[in-house]
Amino acid sequence: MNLNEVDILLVDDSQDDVDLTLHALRAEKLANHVFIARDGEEALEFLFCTGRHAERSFDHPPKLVLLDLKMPKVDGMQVLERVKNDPRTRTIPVVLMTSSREERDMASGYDLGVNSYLQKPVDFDEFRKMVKLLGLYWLVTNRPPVLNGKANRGGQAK
Amino acid sequence: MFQFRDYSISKKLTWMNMLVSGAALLLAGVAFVAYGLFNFQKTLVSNLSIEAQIVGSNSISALVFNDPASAEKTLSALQAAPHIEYASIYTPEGQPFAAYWRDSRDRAASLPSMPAAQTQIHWFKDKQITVVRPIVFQGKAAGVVCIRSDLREWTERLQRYAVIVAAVLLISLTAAWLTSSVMRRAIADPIVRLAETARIVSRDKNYSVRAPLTSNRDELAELIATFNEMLAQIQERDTALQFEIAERTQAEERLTGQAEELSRQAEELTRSQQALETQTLMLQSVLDSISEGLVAADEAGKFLLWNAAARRIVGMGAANVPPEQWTDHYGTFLPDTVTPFPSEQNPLLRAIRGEACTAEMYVRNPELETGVWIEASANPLKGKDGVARGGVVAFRDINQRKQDEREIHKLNQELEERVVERTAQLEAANHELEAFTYSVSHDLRAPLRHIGGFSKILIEDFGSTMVPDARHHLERIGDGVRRMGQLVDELLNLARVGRHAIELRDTSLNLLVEEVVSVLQPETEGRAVSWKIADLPPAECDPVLVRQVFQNLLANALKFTRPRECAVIEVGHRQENGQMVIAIRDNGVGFNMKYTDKLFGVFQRLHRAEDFEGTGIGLATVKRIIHKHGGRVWAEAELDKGATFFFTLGAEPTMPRPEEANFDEGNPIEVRSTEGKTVEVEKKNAAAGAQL
Repeated sequence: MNLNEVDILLVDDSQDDVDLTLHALRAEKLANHVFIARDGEEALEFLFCTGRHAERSFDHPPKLVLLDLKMPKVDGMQVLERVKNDPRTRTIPVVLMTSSREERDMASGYDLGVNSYLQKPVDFDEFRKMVKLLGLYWLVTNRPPVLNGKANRGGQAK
Repeated sequence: MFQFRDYSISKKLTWMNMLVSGAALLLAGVAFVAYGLFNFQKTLVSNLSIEAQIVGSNSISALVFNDPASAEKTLSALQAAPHIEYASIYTPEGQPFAAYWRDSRDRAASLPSMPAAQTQIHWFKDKQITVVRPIVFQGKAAGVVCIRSDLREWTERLQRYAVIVAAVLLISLTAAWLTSSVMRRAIADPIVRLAETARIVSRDKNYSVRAPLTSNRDELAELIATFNEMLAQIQERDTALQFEIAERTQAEERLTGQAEELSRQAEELTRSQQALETQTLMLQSVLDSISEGLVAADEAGKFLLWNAAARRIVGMGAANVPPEQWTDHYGTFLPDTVTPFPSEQNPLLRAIRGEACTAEMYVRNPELETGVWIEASANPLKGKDGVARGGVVAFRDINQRKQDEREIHKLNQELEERVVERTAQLEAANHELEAFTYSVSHDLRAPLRHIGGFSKILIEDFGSTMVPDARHHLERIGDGVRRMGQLVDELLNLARVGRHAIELRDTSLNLLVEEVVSVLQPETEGRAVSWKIADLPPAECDPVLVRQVFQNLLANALKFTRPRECAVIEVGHRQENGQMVIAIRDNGVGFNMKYTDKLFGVFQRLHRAEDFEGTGIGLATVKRIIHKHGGRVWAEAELDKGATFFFTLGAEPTMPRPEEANFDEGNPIEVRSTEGKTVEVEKKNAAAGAQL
């Protein structure tokens, strides 16, 4: 998979969650351009084209970042902060998907400029329904931002 | 009897007149008679002498011739003089010679002898006068003639004289008496009248009367005038005197009054002094008996009072030292126990300066075994004009209190330390609880979701190849996961309600109910449900939380009416004690009222899970929300007849009437620890409701 053609960056340390999310995305045929980062650190390397992902280009940001909150090393909130505080990355839509419904988390998430905050339902059917809506909306319905004077790749594809 | 001097003046005058003129006349009469008789006597003697001479001369011859008859013849010639009783002639030898008797009867009587020497003599005897004359012849005594005559003529003459004198006297006295009557009128009457006037004045003290004036201009008139003038003056003086007396009487009365007043005041003063002494003694006893030290000083800092307690506390008595040396003398220190107490801050000196103050000081001097803490309260002693005349300070030994304070301070410090410790523990516990909640929320839900997700995937992807039992078990796993997810969600919800900061705003309850009803709509599918929702007044509440209340209560109503062919769920309200009560009634299975106390507890369920699913958290959440609003929630039900849940939002009104305001005091706030980490304050206003 060309790392410059990633539609969704899925950041989650739980293999179970990753599998379930991918299962749901696959059902909607949205799982082809998904890159999985297993922690915040890797997510940041990917987004800022550093470390293991130094060869990546800022010209091809993902259309959506699905970010889990609770992760080892660098947690979701820190990732969000870095992304939204950097002019190169702040236009990238970030959706926090977490088990927590803590108001505290929601409030700080929105303060940092998260685009959406979702709680993962326990019920798998509902979870699937949510992932489907999410994918369709951000990858299909939504018009991505224009980067450096030219339209995003995703936008060009449509 | 009356003396002469007691006679009236007119009588006196009369008598005087009479006596004077009587005496004068008498004297004159006597003189005249005496003179007359004397002359007559002389004449008588002279006549008799002449007759004797004659007889003698005529008898010389007889004598010479010694012829007594001739002599007797001569003598008998004396018959012509009837008054001659006897005549005789004696010889010079004194021998009787011849005699003549006028009365011959007396002839028998002897002749008296005649001393020869007795010649030229006469004498009176027995109303008779005898004259003896010598007969001289040729110068030689020839004899002696003696003739005796009676005094009848003399006596007659005397009687005549007496009658004349008496007549003259009588006439003179009558004249004198008459004259004096006239004179008396002129002299005595005015005097009598004057005396009368004087008597009236003297008797009646009436100085206005006047003696009547006479027309005369004599001394009496002058006397009366003077008397009247004197009376006038006396009257004048009397008036003045009366006036003066009146004034003096008044003055005396005043004086008497004043004297009485003075004596009364003196008595009072005495009583006051006695009372004062008693009081002073009593005060002294009181002052000495009180446990507080009392010290007073005048403006100059001279001690006026130093009671027994003061001596005991300070260890010394009043000393004659200037105020600036008090600190040294009595050993007073600031509360740090080492700095000498500054003189200018000394409470007593401040009080003398007119300043009321209190101070704590430490006293340490050689007279005291240990240092003494004292608390002093000083006040100025003010005179009537309000100016400070000194100061008084009351103080007491506060060693015990100081010790207690130290103890309390120590205990407080310990307590504070413990509070800090406990607070830290509590905070830690809170953190733990939050962490736990977070874990429940995140860590517990995640595996649940995984279990549920994978079971679902198994059923979906491999269900067709499974034995029916395996598929059934997988479905049971899915059900369990769903229930557990619900339980976790509701528990989190309950915890969140506890931490949720309430935000009151005007809320349309009808809007909330409609929202909830529409959310519950899916569950009514296939059922006949009749919603009867009244017009509810707007309320001031937290809409998010109250929405949860309606959600839970209406969901319950819907759940427990499931056995009914036609479910009837009503939402209404009523006014109770000036407060709005919301009621939600259903015609469901109801419950036995004896379990009503369990109704709102966490995990308390009155029905079997097989009959009615549920977590037993919903009503606990409702109760918590209602209590957060200060209201209360209760239920009435009957088994198989339905249940009604009531709740109020906000505390019951306590403002309008004063007696209601008392309910707050009468009903202490009850702090009740509830499950979870929150502590709720619930106001029990049931009593207030009962009285309204």
